[in-house]
Amino acid sequence: MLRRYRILLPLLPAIIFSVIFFCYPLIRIFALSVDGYKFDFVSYAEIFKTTLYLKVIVNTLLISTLITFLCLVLGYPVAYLLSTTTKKKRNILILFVILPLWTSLLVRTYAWMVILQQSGMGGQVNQFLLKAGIIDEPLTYMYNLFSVSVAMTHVLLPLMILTLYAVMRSINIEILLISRNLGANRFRTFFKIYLPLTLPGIIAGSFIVFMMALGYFITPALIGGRRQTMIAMLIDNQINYLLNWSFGAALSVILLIVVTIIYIVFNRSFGLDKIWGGLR
Amino acid sequence: MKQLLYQKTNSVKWYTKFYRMAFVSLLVTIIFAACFGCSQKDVENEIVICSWGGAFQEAQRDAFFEPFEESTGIKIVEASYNAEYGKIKAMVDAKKVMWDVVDVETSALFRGTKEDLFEPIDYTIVDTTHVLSEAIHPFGIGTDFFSTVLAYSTNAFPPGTPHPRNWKDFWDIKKFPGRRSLRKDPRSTLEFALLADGVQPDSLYPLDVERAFRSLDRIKNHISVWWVSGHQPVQLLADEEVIMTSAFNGRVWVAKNIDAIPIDMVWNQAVMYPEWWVILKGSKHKKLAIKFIAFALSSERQAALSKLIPYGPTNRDALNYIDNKILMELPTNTKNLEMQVIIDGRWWSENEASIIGKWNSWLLSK
Repeated sequence: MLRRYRILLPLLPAIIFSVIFFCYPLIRIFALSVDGYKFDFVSYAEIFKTTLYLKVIVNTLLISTLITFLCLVLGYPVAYLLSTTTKKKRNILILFVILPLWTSLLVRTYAWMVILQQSGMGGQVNQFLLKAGIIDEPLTYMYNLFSVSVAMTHVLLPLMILTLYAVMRSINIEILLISRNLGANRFRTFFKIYLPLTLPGIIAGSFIVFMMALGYFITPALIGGRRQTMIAMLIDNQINYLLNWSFGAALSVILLIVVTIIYIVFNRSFGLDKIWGGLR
Repeated sequence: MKQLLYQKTNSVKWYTKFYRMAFVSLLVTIIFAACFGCSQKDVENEIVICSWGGAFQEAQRDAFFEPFEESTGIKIVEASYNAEYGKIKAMVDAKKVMWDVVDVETSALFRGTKEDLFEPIDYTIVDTTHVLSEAIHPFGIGTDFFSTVLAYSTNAFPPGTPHPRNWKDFWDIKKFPGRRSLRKDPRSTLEFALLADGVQPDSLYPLDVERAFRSLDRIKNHISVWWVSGHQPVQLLADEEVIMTSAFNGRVWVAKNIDAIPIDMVWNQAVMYPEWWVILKGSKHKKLAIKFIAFALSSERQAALSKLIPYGPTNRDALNYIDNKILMELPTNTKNLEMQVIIDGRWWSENEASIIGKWNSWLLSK
């Protein structure tokens, strides 16, 4: 019997690590939200008393869905190009994808602030459109859904591309040639053969981007408006400004529950465990 | 078949090896962590001072921090915050006090005194001969007075054309159309809302909170940005993101006179605050901290700060070292003082907690 479990021994450090640094803090957060052993759900009652917090959660889900969609639409062709081009070109192109990942999130967010602002030092977009005669007066790109979507898509895009790329690399391109050879046109080949084969990548990429977007805080806080308030910003507010730790913890727990539900739904319908292993 | 699948003898060896390695590396990590933890001892000759960042903290650096380091050899480590009372309380409550001296608002001073967050000030060390009596408190000493004023872009309102002169004008969307910004903080913003609604400055307190929020409702959709840190409003005006905003008077002055940014401000209906040095409870460098406070309160140092950023000194003797041009720009100047409201820190310290909750849900609602 014991021998069988021996196979789990190498996992022990990882298990210990996640118990100490993941499970324990998580339990503490839950304890904080119910006031320790008292199991006082007053913070939860407070959250559901108004529709305010639910609205913010729905808002967070909507923004995250939008970002995921944008990342998928923009990332898919790039990943395709990466997986089909020559090795030399691929190395250069991959650098363009990875380089932004290595740049600080704050720097990237501030860069968008400069580019999108009305005028002043930056405002390149507005200046270009003005000079080109497309617009008569500067448009408002900042502090709204537009600026948040642009910046968050830019930040999360590499994750989508790399996930898609990993799956696309494992697809045998010759299958496509065979399909064409057998008389299917380009569209049919794409929708019937290529798209289904890349589906695991689409799901995994969307899942990662969506989950990352749900917890986003700095970007919407810096360049979003009042209407782009996301749940993580509310948690920060409760913890840092209002000192209502129990309420902040309750909000975190609710976010965690939402994420878990989404994970379960994804897992039931697509089998996420298969995705992590790629296409076999 | 079974043998093929498991390859018993070999695999056990391999896993055991791996496990041993993992164990050893874990041990090494723990030892390293322990050593690191020990090495994080308190540095003796050093204090951490937290202020508000931006142009203000730069001025404090030149006027207080660097001269103090030069004359005493005590190192100053700087931190900055956006006047979040919560951060101070969290630190003291958790007994992990990372800041020794903090620059706080009056409401924070009163709340912190009540909640036992500060060390008492040792007045045998600080020379208070010339310090205003209003700036002396058992748990804090006033360092300067600053004002939140109405600032506007002179690109949007060139000199000679009508510009907003009070909060009623700020609220008047028809007369002055355009995007605006206000501080994401009810303190002073509620005062502005009431002034805009026609409340007389001398009958502001206690604030009619409901009326203030109703007044804010009228302008809510024209506030495109709610600023958080002190440098933001000036940046927003410089970038022409907004045409007018509330802002700290010193930041506007620095931007206008030193960085030549086309902005201006009005003293009328500004809200003036005192700022305080406090020493956090549990600070390990109390003696050095009070030494710093005494240093920063000297007339010479106070005058140096006012010259760099026009905030009013609490040490009256400092006024003798400041020339007339700067004196005119100080919030404490009699002419400017007449037009302003002084914030009622006591009222805020008692009502802040409930108002901030209301304020946040108001911001989120449509």
